[in-house]
Amino acid sequence: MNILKNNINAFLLVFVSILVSVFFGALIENFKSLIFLAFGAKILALLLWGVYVIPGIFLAKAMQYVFFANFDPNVEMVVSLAAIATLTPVLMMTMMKISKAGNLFNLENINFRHIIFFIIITAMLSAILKHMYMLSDIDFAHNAAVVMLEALFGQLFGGLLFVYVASKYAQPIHQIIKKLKFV
Amino acid sequence: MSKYLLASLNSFFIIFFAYFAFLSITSWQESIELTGEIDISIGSYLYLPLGAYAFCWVVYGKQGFPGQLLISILMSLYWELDSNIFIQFTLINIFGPVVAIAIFRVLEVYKFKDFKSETSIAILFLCIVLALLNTLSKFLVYFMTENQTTSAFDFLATYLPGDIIGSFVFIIFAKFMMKIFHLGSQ
Repeated sequence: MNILKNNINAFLLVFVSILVSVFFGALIENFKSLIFLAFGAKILALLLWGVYVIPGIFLAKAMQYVFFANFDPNVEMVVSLAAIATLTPVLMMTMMKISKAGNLFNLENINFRHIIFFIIITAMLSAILKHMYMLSDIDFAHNAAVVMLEALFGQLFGGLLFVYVASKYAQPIHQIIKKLKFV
Repeated sequence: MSKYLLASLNSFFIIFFAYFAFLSITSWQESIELTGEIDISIGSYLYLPLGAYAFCWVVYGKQGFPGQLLISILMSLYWELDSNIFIQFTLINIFGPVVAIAIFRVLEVYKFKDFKSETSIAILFLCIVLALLNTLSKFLVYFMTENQTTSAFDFLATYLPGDIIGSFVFIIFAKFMMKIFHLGSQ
């Protein structure tokens, strides 16, 4: 039951941040995904609730590719891209744990610099893997380098911004909401 | 002064050895001539020099920098790289490993004071980050220019595994040699 609740929370967190990114992308053309907040939301969901929220994140990412992609998606493409987006952070978390670079599965005594490191390498790997898949099948209007650059910096800035803001303000906001007795 | 000269010379010959081994293996595998212009649009599956640059930066630090710069320029000249990517590729060769190791040090993941005290899995992790940085930066530089002869997929699919495997093989080999000949111990 708790896992289901966490999955719903993760889905909402990621999907709402996708909507925010799409909304700002529509406002400022040519800077569509230079701050892609959904990447940070995905990382935060994994850090907060663990790997059990993979289905929730996967669903949110699949919906992103179905509704907001700038190419014609088919089922195989949506599933593959959503799987890459969901499993890359998990792969890097596992890699970091195995190599004793930092245990992100347990947030007690975590060094915040390790989270920054995790975001940087995940953004790079995710951008490369997604584009290895996408650039072979889809014709983009822009140059391949521009597409990659936009995805890379979007994920990097979005991830760092989201996690920083969440770590700084989430606790005070939660306390304010608690005082107002919404939760 | 002599410290810088010695470190630079060592760096130069270590990286030269890596390039020589890489070129020999590639030419033997693909039955091509060792000399002349190289097709940079397709990467090798065993790019040893990346590991050599990282190794020299960890072992010699900034003292070995002139040697690294010289060999990188010489190899770019030897491969007859186009003028629009010559400087970028030369700089990526040198500063890619520097940035990768700096990320590890600044973010307190590993110290990388020397390779002897680091585990193989830590070195593998370094190689993955090295390969990601090298592949991404070369991809961006290469595809910013107009005359591409290969697809983006082929570029990424050959550079990324080649950088990971090549750098890991070189660093593990160098660590093994240091252990055998008791090098690097004060």
